[in-house]
Amino acid sequence: MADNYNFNKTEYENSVNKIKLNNTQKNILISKMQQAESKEIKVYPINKYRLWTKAVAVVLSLAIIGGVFYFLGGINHNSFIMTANASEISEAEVVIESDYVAGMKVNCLERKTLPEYADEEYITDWIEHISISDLSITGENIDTITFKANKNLIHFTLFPMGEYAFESQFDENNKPIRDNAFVEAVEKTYEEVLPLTNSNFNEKEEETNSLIVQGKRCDGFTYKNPDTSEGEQTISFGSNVTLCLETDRFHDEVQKEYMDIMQECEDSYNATVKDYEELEDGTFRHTLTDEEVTILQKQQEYRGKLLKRLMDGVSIDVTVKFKNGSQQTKTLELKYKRLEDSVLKMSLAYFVDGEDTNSFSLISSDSVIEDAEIKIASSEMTTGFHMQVFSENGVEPYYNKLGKQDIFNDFLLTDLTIKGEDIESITFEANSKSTYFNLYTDNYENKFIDIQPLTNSQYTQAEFEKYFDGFFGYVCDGFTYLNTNKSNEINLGRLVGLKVESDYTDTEIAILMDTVYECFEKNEEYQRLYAPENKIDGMHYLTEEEIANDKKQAEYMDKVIDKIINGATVDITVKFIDGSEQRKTLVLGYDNSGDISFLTAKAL
Amino acid sequence: MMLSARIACEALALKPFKYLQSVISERGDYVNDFMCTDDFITKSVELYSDMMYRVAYNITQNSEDAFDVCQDVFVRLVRNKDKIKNNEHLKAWLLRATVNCSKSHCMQAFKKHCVSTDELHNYSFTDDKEKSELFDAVMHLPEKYRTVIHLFYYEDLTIVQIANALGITKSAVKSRLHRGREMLKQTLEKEN
Repeated sequence: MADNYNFNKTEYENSVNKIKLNNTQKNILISKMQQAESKEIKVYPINKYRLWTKAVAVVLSLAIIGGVFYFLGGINHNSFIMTANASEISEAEVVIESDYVAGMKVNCLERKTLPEYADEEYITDWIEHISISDLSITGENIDTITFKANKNLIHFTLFPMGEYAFESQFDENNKPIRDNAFVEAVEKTYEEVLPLTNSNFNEKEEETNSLIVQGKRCDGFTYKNPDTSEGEQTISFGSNVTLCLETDRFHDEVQKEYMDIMQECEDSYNATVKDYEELEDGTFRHTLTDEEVTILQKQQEYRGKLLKRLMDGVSIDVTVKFKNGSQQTKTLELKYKRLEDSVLKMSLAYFVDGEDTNSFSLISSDSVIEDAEIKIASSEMTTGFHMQVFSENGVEPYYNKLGKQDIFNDFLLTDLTIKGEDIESITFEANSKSTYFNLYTDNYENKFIDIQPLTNSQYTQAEFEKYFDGFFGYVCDGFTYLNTNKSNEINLGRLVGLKVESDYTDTEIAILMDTVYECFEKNEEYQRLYAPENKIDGMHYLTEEEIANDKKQAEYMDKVIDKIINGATVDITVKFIDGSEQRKTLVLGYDNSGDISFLTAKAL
Repeated sequence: MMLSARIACEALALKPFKYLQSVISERGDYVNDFMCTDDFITKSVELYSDMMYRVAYNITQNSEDAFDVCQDVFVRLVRNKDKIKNNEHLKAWLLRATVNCSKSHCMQAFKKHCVSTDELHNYSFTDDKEKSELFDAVMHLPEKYRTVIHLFYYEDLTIVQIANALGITKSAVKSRLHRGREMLKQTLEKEN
């Protein structure tokens, strides 16, 4: 027997019984809960499963144009603010999550006549339509709003308020027909529509093409506010305006390269045979195969590159005229950032590269992480957890696709500190299979953004929520933390853990895990054998056999974790207030030599 | 196909491609009786607030912090109540959330005040309470041992339930109980 200490339960209970809440405190709890129930809780949207064609993000940042007054922090007469997703667009980047509109292919047949393109059999450029429905303008006594695009090949397509075009009509020769009545309606909706010059395709050329956009394309437009009431108003164009980005493969070799690759992917995808399952509502569902996913991933990757290239240097002037005759202009600079693509489980973020004028250091326990391995996280808190299925009949294991039950270990990044000045945000990215982050927060202060989809795990967020009892927060491959407190030292403490998941697809790990589970089963057996006889004070005392079995289990679990963690990397990118960025890569290690095992890291 | 010329706008019921369909998240099948009623809030507080407070107190060693933790957890419960399947699950969920919240609280408190490790052990009662030697000794144990001891001896949880609440293996629970008791024995023998 290990010990014969007799715990005095009664004495302990008598003391603890005195620790309780009084009625006033309980009423406070009730009141808090009632308040929480009535409030609309805003949580930054984590990546949900969506149609893969959606979720392109347009990042707008406000640049102050010399000489134009910009009023921050409130609405006054003769000034306006712009918001996206209820966040004011100021110096910080604000992401407008935009529904991607599939690019419209425009066959520039007329260009075939140009001598330099005579060798091209089929020339195709695209016009990418991006919805900016989340962009709003708020101000008092707004008379008109004017949008003007400032770069060639960037323009707008307008639809009448409340209407939109979905598909073209075709004549008997299969030629697209422009709905002129529709176009007239558009022109009536907007006070002024600037002629289209920022495009290689005018209306006449459109008619020769395979598809016509049933809207009015223009360099800019002016919208008159029909609301004549006084006071603050918010105006948004919803889905009536799309921002158009036009490709120009003739003059941009890089665009041509990207577009060719995308076309190859499309052709490959179309060439594969597909099985469709008919659903109740008459639509069809096809489950993507691995091969198809790979093709689409590649296509999306290059599409992202193309969009970024199209968006670089693009700006839009927004001019608001007020009823008293004064006006104010603000300029939005566009950047492209791709948020998510949940079917393909990708997330590609493109940032404008900045100069490395700032720097940051990663420290742990006051030691800078350089070549030496430094402890950055402890496994003290949560180790060796499973997924389980809860039902009326009890609890059963939740198995992975190989029919095995995985074990999850968590390392809270309590010892990792990022130090630097003027830090705006920090992005963490886990790069290795079976390692990813768990954010232990409901993010109600919106400090965690750009939460990347989970691809380093066999499981999904939904599975964690359903089968990982007590699960809280988000699991993700990476995230960005906003340094809203403007700290020079940031330690996320227990808000972030690095999860390490067993990986049965690795043969060596699978063998180690089998031993771990053998020890589990032996434990159960020992319980049955020894517990009934070895009970004093309700406590089962571990026998030498059990202690040895526990040690073996822990030893093999450590080997599993070591195999997964050793050499895994985490990228930490710090963005500074001036827009510059610096990235460092940590190479992880595992130290289980002591009572508590911990994660180590050294800088790459 | 993928980049065919179709325009999708947010206002539309989107089906740009008829052969892809989004997955609708599932709802749990089990709904507890009182979860559906209006007095869910009152009953939750009535049934579980003392339990949570004691667990939080065990970890934070401070009654004000323990009360803050209770508030945080109950607010989270309101936001997450759709995930709760039944009464038993509710209790387990609250326990685990309380443990997690208490530990976060400890970390924040430590960062803010930077007290020494000696001061950390000076737990405080806001009300006058009799302290027993045993209780005192338990509260002086390292957090990972005293929590397990409290859940086992006071809350009468099984090894499995403790493992679930703390997110550790059953073996770890047994080891911690074992070591916690050893330390208690040594402490109390010394004092006597």
